[in-house]
Amino acid sequence: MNLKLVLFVLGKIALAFAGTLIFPLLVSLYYGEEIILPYLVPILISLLLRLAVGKFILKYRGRLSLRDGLGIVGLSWCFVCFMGALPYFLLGIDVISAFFESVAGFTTTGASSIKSLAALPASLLLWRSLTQWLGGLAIILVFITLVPQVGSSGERLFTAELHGESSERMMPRIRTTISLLGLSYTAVTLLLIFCLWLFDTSFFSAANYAMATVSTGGFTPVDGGLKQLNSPALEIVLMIFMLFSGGSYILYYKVYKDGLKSFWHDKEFLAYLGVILFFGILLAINLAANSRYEGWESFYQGLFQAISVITTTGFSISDYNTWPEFSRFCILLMMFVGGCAGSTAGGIKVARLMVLFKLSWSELKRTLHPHMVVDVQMSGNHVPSNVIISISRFFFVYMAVFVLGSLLLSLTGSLGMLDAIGIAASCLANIGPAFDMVAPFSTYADVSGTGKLLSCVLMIFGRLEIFTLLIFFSPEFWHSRKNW
Amino acid sequence: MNFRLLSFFLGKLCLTCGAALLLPSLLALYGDEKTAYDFLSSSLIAGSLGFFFVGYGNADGKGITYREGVAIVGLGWLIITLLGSLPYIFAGVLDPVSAFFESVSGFTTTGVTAFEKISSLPSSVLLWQSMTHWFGGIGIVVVFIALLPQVGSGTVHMFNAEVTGPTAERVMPRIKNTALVLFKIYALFTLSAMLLLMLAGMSVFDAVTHSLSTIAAGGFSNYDDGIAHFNSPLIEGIITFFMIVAGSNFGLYYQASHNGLRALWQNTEFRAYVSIIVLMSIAIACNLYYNNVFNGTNSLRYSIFHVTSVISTTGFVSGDFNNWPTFSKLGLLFLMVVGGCAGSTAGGIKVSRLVVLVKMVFAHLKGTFHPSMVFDITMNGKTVPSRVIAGIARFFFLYVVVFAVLSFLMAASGLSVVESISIIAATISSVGPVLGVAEAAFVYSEITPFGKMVVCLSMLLGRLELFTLLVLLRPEFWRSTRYW
Repeated sequence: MNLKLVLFVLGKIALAFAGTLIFPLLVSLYYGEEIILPYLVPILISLLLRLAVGKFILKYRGRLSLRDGLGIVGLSWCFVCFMGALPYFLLGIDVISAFFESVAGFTTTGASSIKSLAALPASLLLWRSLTQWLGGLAIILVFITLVPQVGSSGERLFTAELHGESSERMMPRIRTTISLLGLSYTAVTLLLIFCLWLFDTSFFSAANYAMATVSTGGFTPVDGGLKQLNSPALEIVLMIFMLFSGGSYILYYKVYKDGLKSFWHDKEFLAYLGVILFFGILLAINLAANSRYEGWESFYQGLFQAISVITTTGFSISDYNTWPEFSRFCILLMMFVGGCAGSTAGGIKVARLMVLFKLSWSELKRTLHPHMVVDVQMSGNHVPSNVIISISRFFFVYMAVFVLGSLLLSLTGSLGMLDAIGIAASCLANIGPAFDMVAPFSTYADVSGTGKLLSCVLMIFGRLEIFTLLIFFSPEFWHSRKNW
Repeated sequence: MNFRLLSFFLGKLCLTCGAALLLPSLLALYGDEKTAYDFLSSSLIAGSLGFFFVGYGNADGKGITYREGVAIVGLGWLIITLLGSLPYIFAGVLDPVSAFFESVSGFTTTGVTAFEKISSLPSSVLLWQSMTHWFGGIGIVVVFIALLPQVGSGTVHMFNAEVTGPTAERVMPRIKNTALVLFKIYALFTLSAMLLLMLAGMSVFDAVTHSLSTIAAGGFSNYDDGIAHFNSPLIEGIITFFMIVAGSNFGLYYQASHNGLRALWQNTEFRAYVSIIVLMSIAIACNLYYNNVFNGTNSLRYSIFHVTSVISTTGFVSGDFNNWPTFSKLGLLFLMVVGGCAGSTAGGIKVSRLVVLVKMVFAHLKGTFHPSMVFDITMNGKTVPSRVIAGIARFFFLYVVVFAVLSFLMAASGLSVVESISIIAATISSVGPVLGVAEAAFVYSEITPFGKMVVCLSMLLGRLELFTLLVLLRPEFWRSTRYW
């Protein structure tokens, strides 16, 4: 590993991190909360790190190898999660919960273990939402542009390949692409803040909701979340923006270049809408049949929940845990789907599932014609066989981590079967709420300390799409000697 | 599709079934039970149907191709299970849907029962239950190939369509001999289990039925409380041993009888299978012990028995699960899906498939840093062709999808989330009782007729490893035109 290069990038990230911590500090000063140290300490640590790094390495130019890329991703996630936990910790929240809150934020999961948000200062609430927003931004920038370049053979092309963008075409303009993506992410956030602000929420809560929505996170700044606001107009605006955030930014980039017809050509986006509508209608039928809500209200409730779970945001406007069993089962299923590849959403991703379905379908055909050559296509582009293999591998590992995670969770404290399964599925897909113990509007506060740490591991696994993290555990990564 | 050939083989299968139905009717005549005529008339129907089919059919001409092989096995299973349900209907002990359910549960070696009280049934019905297990265990078609003379060329396609596992291994160059060897080993184990159980103090009839359902990895018992009825560690020990035997590859025993017991240990799958049993037994025993469910020895006794019962997909129960901790229940639930070895009488995904998948993941982790390195995934020292690996990965995905769809249907029939998941896990892998969720009998008698049909589908899909049945659903399959 090229330590110089890794530290150089880490220094830059530390600087950016310190920069964002200024926002809650300013808010704290503005509201006269007199909370300065909890933000100042991580800022100073980050600046010190930057200075220490800068003393050795002023400028660095060199090629980023796979190992360096992974090193940067891993180290910066560690750094950011620990530093992000400091403000919570310094404000008197216990270590594990502080870390949990920070991880849940940066992985855009939006699971909270704080029982009463009302007792928290506004600046800390802002920091909570900001961690999500930053996490989402990191996913957009790093995972769409950087990781596909350095990722291992299979994953390398995944996102770009699906949208018919060859990496050669994206690479020369990587700087432009990055700034364009960053800008559009920010612009969408600002637009949402404005929209929410129009519908008579305070500017502060509008900002919080907007950051949680655009990053598909799901933190709410008040206890009881959206139920507390009880404003249909606002909910509809959130639905639209959640839907947007679960879609691919590469697709939006194409739409920007080639016009609206790109939406129609992108099969993943259509499937994504189809899945949401399908589950929304199923939930609606089930809710109506059990006379939970009347007429259109059940469709509205079903659709909101379908959007919220499939985009892995995790907002709720009513407690789905008290819904009929069939609805609860649908929600559990939806947790595995996830949004589109190239979005901030977690989960398996619609594109992967589509490829796998097409593959199985062609396999049924092939059993009849054993010598048939199978060609799997996405949006008219041929999917190379190494991508197909890496997708089926990913699916297996995802399920394996889910099974192991829920088994380990069941060992911690008083979790029931559905609790364990639900938490594992929800954390792995970066959603947040699950069933029974951690139903919507309740928190992870009652989950034991080990349970929380396990959930953190699952969240990071899910966010880094498992292999990135698994590679850190493989001994090969730590051998600096090259075999050839 | 050669329909005449199809008809000929299906007719022969019906005749075999008719002959098998005579056995319980003899027992009924001997015991002076009034069910004798019910079995005789079922046998008559099966026989005449058989003559009708054979009369229409025509064995000579072209040999069996892939299509016919799959059609014979798929349709054969459907017809045999329908015929097998006749005695229950005629005897008036079950309604038609439940009778079909019972018959499918028997032939697929699942071992869930639709009866509310088993112990009050006439012994001929009990014998028929165990016999269905025994014929289904190694596969009705395998039994058929082994016992009947002259089945013509291309039986390999029938054999492959029924035998479980990623690749059907042949222990002998000729399929007829392979089937015969497998059948002999199967019969030998059944006889020895019968003798040992008798020596351990079971009555002759109990020993016969229990040995039939143990070697078939079935799970029907003559008593409502299953093996717990005997409350004898010795009987549990014998049954545990034969369950382990039943869950492992029968072809392997042939090798072991020729090359010594070393052959067992040199087999990758067998090693993994035994390791899983040992590890999970210890883990669950510890979990039971530390949660004060049982004392030391009893924890080990119950955990070993149930772990083997579940992984061999037998489904015998020797205690009640009401106060078992979540980890033990969840552990058993996931073990159900794992299943036994390829070429065994067990259901599930199969250990060998999982071993290949895990090896694939590790190879990938290594390969990340050595992009040009060629990796060899081996089983028993032999390379697994990449075509097989891809097939296994696809199978895994399809298995999970079928699992999700079936449990979705169960949830739609009104069961709770955990119930629907565990019922499908227990039936698709042909385990049977839903260990640990609720009292097994209670859950199954609660199922609606629609739910029962879904469970039947789940059992058949699981036993025939998806493709054999799914291919039958394709209209293209039945068209006689050939494309090349």
